[in-house]
Amino acid sequence: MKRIIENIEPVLKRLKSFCEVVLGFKKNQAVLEAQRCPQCSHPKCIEGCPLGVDIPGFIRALREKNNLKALHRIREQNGLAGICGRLCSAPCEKACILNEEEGVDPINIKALERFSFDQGQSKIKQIFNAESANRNNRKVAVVGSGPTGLTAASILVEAGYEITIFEALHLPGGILRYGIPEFRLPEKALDIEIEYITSLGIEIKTNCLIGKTYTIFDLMDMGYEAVLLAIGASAPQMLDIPGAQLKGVHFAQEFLMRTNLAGEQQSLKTEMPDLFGKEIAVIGSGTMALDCARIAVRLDKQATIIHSQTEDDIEATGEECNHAKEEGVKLEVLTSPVEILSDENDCVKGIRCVRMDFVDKDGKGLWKVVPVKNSEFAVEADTVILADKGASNSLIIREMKDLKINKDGSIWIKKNEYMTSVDGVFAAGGVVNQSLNLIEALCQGKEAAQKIDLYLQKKNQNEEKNI
Amino acid sequence: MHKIVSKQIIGENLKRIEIVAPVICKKAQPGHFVMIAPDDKSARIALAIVEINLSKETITLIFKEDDSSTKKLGSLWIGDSVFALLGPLGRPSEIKEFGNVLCIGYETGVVSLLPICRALHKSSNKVISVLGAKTKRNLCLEPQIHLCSQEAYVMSEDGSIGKRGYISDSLEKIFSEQKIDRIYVAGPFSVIQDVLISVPERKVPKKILINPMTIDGFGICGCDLIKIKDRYASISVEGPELDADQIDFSFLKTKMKNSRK
Ligand SMILES: Cc1cc2nc3c(=O)[nH]c(=O)nc-3n(C[C@H](O)[C@H](O)[C@H](O)COP(=O)(O)OP(=O)(O)OC[C@H]3O[C@@H](n4cnc5c(N)ncnc54)[C@H](O)[C@@H]3O)c2cc1C
Repeated sequence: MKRIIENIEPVLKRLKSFCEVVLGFKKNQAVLEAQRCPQCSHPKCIEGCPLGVDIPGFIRALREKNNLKALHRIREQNGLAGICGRLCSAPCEKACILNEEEGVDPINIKALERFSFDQGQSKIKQIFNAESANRNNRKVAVVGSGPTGLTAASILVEAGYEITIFEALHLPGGILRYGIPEFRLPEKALDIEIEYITSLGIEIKTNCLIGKTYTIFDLMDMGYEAVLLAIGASAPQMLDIPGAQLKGVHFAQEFLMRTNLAGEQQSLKTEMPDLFGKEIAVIGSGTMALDCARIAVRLDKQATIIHSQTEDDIEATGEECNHAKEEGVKLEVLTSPVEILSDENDCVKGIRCVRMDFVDKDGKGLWKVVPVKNSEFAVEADTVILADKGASNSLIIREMKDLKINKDGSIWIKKNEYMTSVDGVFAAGGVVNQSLNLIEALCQGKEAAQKIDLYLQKKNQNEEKNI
Repeated sequence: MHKIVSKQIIGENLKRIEIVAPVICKKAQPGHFVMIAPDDKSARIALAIVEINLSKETITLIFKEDDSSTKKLGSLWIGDSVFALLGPLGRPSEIKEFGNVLCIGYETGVVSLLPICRALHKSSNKVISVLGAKTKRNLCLEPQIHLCSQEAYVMSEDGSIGKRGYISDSLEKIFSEQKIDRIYVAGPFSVIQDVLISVPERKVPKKILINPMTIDGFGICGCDLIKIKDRYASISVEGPELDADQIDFSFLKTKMKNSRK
């Protein structure tokens, strides 16, 4: 039997709105796909999942049409099923045993995970267990409410700590809130996940910038015995080519924040023209670049992605790339920007680019992508969006001189321990490794939470000894 | 949460509101700003903290109603609460006894200048201020600046108040009469540039105050990225007060054109 693919919204409808593109499985599709799972005795998918979700277990529940049980099974390891079911890069599917058989596709685990969430979540009645909450009588502060922070918080609260998440923005969710557009992750799904996490007894304090509103020392004075920095890596990095300061050059972070945080996205069509032009060129190579371009085409703009490697090297799932192309996003692959061109008013009028190609310089099979001689050409554009990887936000780092920093600006942590150079201060997620994807960030959040638990248990033992 | 406890109209489209902010007021210092959103539909905007009242646990903001967020903010009543308030943000101004300080502000630029002027005045500096505007109606906070200045001059381009002319026209005389130890300039880019070119004494430390055009207020959106010497910096993290001698002005100029306002 063939792998069942999720239903997709038709292109024309997509371009007219910000509605979700991937619609998920219908009930019978989910059961059929679940039945395809061979239920291996040594499941490779579990090994493939950084969180170790019991994949055959939740698929079994789906076969029994028990969606709530499936969701519970996933949530034992992953508190953000509705989000991973939509955005995860699904390393579990790459590990699926069916890949080894010719002509057979792996199980669509991601779609089944999403189905479990979409169908199961409304039935969940949470579950705030006042007795178990804070049974350790110790407080932990989590800074940042992105996927890393949310995951760590949910694990720590279940381990019996009192948890407060401090978030600088007015809404929780991190990149999930302000970076990823509605058509890939509906705000409602995110709200449900966050509601679930707060229902465990976690307090989220928004509008609270650690380093300014409170410092880490303030948090310690307020009785937090451990602090987890899960502040992501979103600070924009300037592209070092001439013209990067011109009028019409924006960072992806700005573009995404303006569009994702806008109250009514439909009104953007009328409000955006004076801010962003008609022909948008996005320089970058990952989901961030794709997301910007796909928002742009929904706002009646032309969008071209300029990417120096091949299409296969775009750091996004093939599915996302295909959706973007269907929607009219142009890809200029093996193309590198040389200069942003300006008109007489210092406004962007295009990008001078050069073609790239693979060259095996010394014949040793070390193929490298290098510029092709005399291949320069111009891409027309009145707006350029820089969608390179973000860097760590330096604000906290500046306020806390003892925090050791790596060369690339990320926070140094003791390997596998997640403790920074400051006792009791931990870090995980984007802020320690700028190129993490979602599932890796969740995994770090989980592991950091376990290390914090160990640290506090040890502290407890020491205190008891001293009494 | 963050309730408005007083509200006044202090000039044409210029409003002053006092907001309860118990945590922010404890940390706030002259030079800091906040991000504020009047309601969940409006974009957050950066406003300088003008006054801090520790006993009432409030901060005071002054703003011109010139876009949808500020208009909405101006339409809130005493007793209403704002939707979001984040702060204090940015770096506080370095305040100590410098000697004779020249404080220059153009139109609404005076709003961010006022708290610094007051703090300098309190720290036993001699404050000489020059306020400028196109016309009398656009002049901001003149009485307040007068109260914290030993000398105050007003320049208007049409002569409707003070002397007729540009701020830069007044500098020659001020510098000929006394030694100036430090300069602060707040206003639009063209005025800042005009003033800096016209300062007769090259070596005086010059500080400029730039309102960060930012969405988040802590350096993520990149709208307020500028070049300082050879590195890029966010105005909301390293400003709003910046050292004029270190800034790449040609970068800043295109950047200021780039921003919305
Ligand atoms: C546009 C975009 C699309 C992506 N799409 C995918 C995808 O499809 N699949 C995938 O696997 N990965 C994707 N990723 C990567 C993934 O989103 C990240 O790996 C993940 O968000 C990192 O999570 P985090 O919690 O570490 O950081 P973030 O999500 O960045 O969260 C950090 C939070 O901390 C807050 N904060 C920062 N500083 C402070 C402070 N001083 N005080 C208080 N709060 C603070 C921030 O406001 C933010 O809310 C995408 C990334 C981007 C930018």
